[in-house]
This record gives sequence, structure tokens and C-alpha cells, in this order.
Amino acid sequence: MESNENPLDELVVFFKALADGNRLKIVGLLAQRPLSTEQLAVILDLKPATVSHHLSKLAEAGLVQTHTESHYKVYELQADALHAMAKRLLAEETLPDAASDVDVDAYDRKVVADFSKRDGRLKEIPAQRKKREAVLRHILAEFRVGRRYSEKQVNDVIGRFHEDTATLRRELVGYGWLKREEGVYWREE
Amino acid sequence: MESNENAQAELVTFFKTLCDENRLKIIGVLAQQAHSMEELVSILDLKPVLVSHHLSKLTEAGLVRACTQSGCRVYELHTDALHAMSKRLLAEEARPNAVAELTEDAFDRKVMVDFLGRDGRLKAIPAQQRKYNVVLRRILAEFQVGERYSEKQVNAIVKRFHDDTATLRRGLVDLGWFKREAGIYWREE
Repeated sequence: MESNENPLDELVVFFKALADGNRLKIVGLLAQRPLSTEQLAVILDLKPATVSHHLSKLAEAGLVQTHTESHYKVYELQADALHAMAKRLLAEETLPDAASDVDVDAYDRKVVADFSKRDGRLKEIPAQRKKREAVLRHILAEFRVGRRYSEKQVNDVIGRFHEDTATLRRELVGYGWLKREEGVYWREE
Repeated sequence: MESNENAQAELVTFFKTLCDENRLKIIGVLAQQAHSMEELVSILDLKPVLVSHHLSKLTEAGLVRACTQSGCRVYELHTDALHAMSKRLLAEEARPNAVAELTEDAFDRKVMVDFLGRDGRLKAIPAQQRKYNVVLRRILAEFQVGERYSEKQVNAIVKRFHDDTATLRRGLVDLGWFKREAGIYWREE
């Protein structure tokens, strides 16, 4: 498998290679020992051309490798590739890699755009929870982490978006995104 | 081997589900947090019908499940299923080594693997009856039920497997799978 490929393409090629009953059987047989196309054709009762096709798909995915043994092409399972890919699948922290080129903030941006007027102020506070959260995250971004704000300062920031500062301030605190202690507010994290 | 076939069909479905770029992206996005349909539509910039189609495929494969989070229907990654499947993939590959657990089907395959040369022909005729039967069954599969063969035709087919056509031909007749009358052979059943 070429390493300069997009990781997503690589995964698609890998899963495509395994998404076939005959190819899974070939993988199972090659796990026992290396075999030639002719041997696989007899064992699986398939045409040699069909076996060759499946082997080329597996080779593309880096799952088999070939060498020549007295005029016969012999295929060997690349167990390492199989294990490496299965581990990648197991590792939760690498899963989001599949979405590395995906814009997870797109939804928030759409909601904020839908609810904002030309001047950047909110037309209204969204009633639906998911949408309201998107708007709150948008307002929260105006607060600097580490800085402390008085209630008046908080209201000034929120007031740029909507006059109902009390509701929005309470929501921000309710979600735990804004902390409050003795009349002082700050953004966590 | 019905359970074997079922297990394999399940693996094929699993891999088929994963060999799609958009579904991999959904998995990647859901690996970070649960999302509603609407959010996924914006994040992936896809038509709602498409997202719903992919989600139903992922749900069918047990990779994603719908749940309700404070009144909102969201989809979450079913990581247990993902882990279980990955582990099975590795187990599947390791299984042929566990001789004690060999199914009849796997035994047949192992005999063929052991007795076939690189050219796909028999290296030797097995001495052990159980193994001999496996080989004969495989040769028998080359003959069509209902068709009649002259001895010359039988030999030509048997010769693809081994030069000692007389022994193998007799073997087929002795097992009663192959009938002979007045120099004509046919497969029973």
C-alpha cells in the first residue's frame, strides 16, 4: 500500500479487499501456508482467472505478497498488514482520522448563519436544544480562557448578540461552559 | 458448515459496510461524539436521504445505534461491535492453526493444501482412506450429474489431477459415487 495515499482511500481499499466471501476464504487458506494460483483454484473450485482477480485485489490492499517458486507464482499472506489494520480499527483514538478532512463545525456555522441578522446579532434565541447549543458555543467563543469577567462584562459580551442577556448567561453557566463564583465568571479549559 | 458460512457472511457484510468513504467519515465523526441526523447532514455536506441511507447500513451492521439524548434523536458509535468484529477478523485468520477445532470443511481444505503441488495437481495419492476420500470427492466434482463419459473422457479429466488414472478411476467406482456399465461412466445422484 502506498503511504502517500489519503488514509481514507487506504481503508476503503482494505475493506473492499475483504468484503468478498471467496477472498476471505483465500485469506484463511493462505494463513495456513503460501499457495499458488493453481492450488487455490483447485481447492476452492474456482477458475484460475477468478483466483488471479481476487489475488490482485488482496495484493492491492497489501494483504498478500508474491514470489516465484520454480515457475509458479506463490502467494503469501501478509499477516502483519492484517494485524496492523485490525489494530487501527481497534484503536479508538485513530478512528477520528477517518474524518480528518471533515468540517465538524459546519453544523454550528449553519445554525448561527440561520439565526443571525446582517449585523451579526441574533434574530431570536433558538428554541430547539441542538440549535441553541450551537448559538451558545458561538457566543462562548467571545470569552477568553483564563480571563475573569464581572457580571456586567459578561452581559456586555452577550449583549452584542441579543438583549436577553440573563437567559443566555444562565444557559452558558447551565452547560458548565462558563463558571461562576461570587459574581465572577470565567471560561473553563 | 452452516455456522461457518453464516459467520463468513456476517464478516462480508461488515466489510461491505465499511468500504464506503462517507460511511467511514460518519464513523470518524461519531467516534468523537454522538450527532443528530441534521448535524451529520451539515458536517458531511450530504443530502439527508444519503445520510439516512448510510446510517441505516451502519445500524444494520451493528456499528451505529440510535438513542435519545435529552429529547433529541442522536446516533452513536457502537464501539463494542467494532472491537468484537476486529477481534474476530484476527481469530478467523488464526483459526486454521487450531487443528483440534477443524470442521469437516476445513479438514478437506487442509488435505487439499497438503497434497497439491504448485501446479494444482496431486503430488501423491493419499494412503489414508479419509484423506483419499477427500481427494476423490474433489475429482468427482469435475463430473456433471446426468452426463455420460467414455473411459477415455474419464481418464482425461482424472489426468488433470494425477497421472495414475487407473487407480483414481477405480477409487471413484469403488466408493459407489461413480457408476460403470458397458464401458460408460456416469455420476450418481
